[in-house]
Amino acid sequence: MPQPIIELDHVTVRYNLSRQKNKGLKEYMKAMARRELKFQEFIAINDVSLTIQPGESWGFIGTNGAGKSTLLKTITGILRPYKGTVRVAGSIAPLLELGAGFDQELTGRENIMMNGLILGMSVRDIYSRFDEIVDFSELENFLDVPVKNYSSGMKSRLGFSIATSSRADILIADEVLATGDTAFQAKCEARMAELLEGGTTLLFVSHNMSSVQNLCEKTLWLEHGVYQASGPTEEMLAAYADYLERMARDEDLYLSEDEEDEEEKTAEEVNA
Amino acid sequence: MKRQPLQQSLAVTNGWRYAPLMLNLVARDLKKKYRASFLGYAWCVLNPLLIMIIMTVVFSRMFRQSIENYPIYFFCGRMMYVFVTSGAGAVMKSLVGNAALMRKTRVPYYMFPFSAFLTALVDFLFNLVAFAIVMIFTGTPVNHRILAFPLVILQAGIFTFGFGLLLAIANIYFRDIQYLYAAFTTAWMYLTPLFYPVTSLPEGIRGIIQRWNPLYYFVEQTRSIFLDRAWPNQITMLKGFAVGFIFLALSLLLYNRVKKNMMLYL
Repeated sequence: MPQPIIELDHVTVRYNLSRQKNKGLKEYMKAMARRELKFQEFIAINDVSLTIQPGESWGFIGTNGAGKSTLLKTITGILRPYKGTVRVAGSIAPLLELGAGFDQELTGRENIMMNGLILGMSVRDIYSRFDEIVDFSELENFLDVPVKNYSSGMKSRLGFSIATSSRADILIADEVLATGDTAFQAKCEARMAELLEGGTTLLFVSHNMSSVQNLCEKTLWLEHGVYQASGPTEEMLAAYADYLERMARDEDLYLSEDEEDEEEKTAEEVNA
Repeated sequence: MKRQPLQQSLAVTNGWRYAPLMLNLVARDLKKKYRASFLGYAWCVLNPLLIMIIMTVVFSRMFRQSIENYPIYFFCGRMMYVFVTSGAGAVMKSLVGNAALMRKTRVPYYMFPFSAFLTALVDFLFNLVAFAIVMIFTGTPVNHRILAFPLVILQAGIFTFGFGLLLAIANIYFRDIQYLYAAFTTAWMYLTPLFYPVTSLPEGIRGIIQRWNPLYYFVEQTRSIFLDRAWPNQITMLKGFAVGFIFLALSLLLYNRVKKNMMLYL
């Protein structure tokens, strides 16, 4: 058994919501006294353990707010676990958001340098792979245009090209294909498949189940920060689809009851 | 492949790896500042010259008796003032200002205050070019005591970074700091004899400023070097280093305390 490249051991991550809803001075003072003014704790990941071997490809699924992005941020090292430990044995190229790390005022060319350096590439690496990056992004005519004038598709193309050319051991892609057109999505999927062949470890978040199916051998399913299941992608996707269907059905049932509850509550409040 | 705890890869110890990124951040700041203007980088030199000319026209007559070489007198004060206040101001904004980048990419946090400081240092060097031009135009001679000037820059630099980093950390938790800072620097400008002679201050206040205003330590030494062509006062120099190191030590202690959970508040 080779050594795992990523090991999450009972990881809990808390997040600061810093809710900004002040109900006047009195409430404000009360919140300050409770030290809740700037910090409202929210457990985004609750006691998740996971072991990933080098060269594996993992999909992360779950409804909005499940904690997928938070988990990837924790693996990347942007967030620290509140409890538990994260061990990573390798370099990471995180692609956590479209054009993260791009400076809007700088040109595409300058941003390739900046973003490459942020990803931990050396200046020499960036120069030698510059053409490769430009070719893949298909942006050769827009290199000297400030990135603020790029379309979101152009930004994601450039970001993806840089991250995948960094040759990091681990590629983290968080819903980055959503803005590209289908041709580019297919091209990106091909590129990721190619990297996987070369031994890169892939962590992939998407709501596009067919992408997950195509790219990932294994999948982790999270809901409200809690581990639901993990295993072969096919099984997970089936279980997840079931869950979504159940949720949709339950929601229909609850909807009418909820409304009644609300009305009762307001009535009580008025009486008090 | 060696297994190591994640935090280790973010430590300052292998910081040289990030030197190119640091330089790139500095270049970015300078580029953004001047790119859109027609004269570009020439403004780095022109701007201080214009301000010096205006101040000389306005005030040199008023203080004719007490200040001999007004352009140099004013310039010595202003360049130190701008270095300290705009440097500390840029460092102050560096953490909150780069929060978007810090939330999405894995870059050591200290990069941002440090690159902001380096940018201010480059701006200061441009200011020195303007200063040299004024020295030549006014025919002000220099002697070997100019060799003490790097020590003055060093004191001011240490103080600026330390003071700025303290503000930057405070600014994460109380965003009000950056608004207060503008008022604070205005007060600081009037409480430092930049454009008026120190002798025009009432006795009591003068003593307080000479003793407790760190900015004045640097201004006084700079004027000794360029106006009196003398070695700066050693006590003042010691005080300049002391105040710098105190602020630097305090800020680094605080930084080490908060860096673990800083991300949650940004």
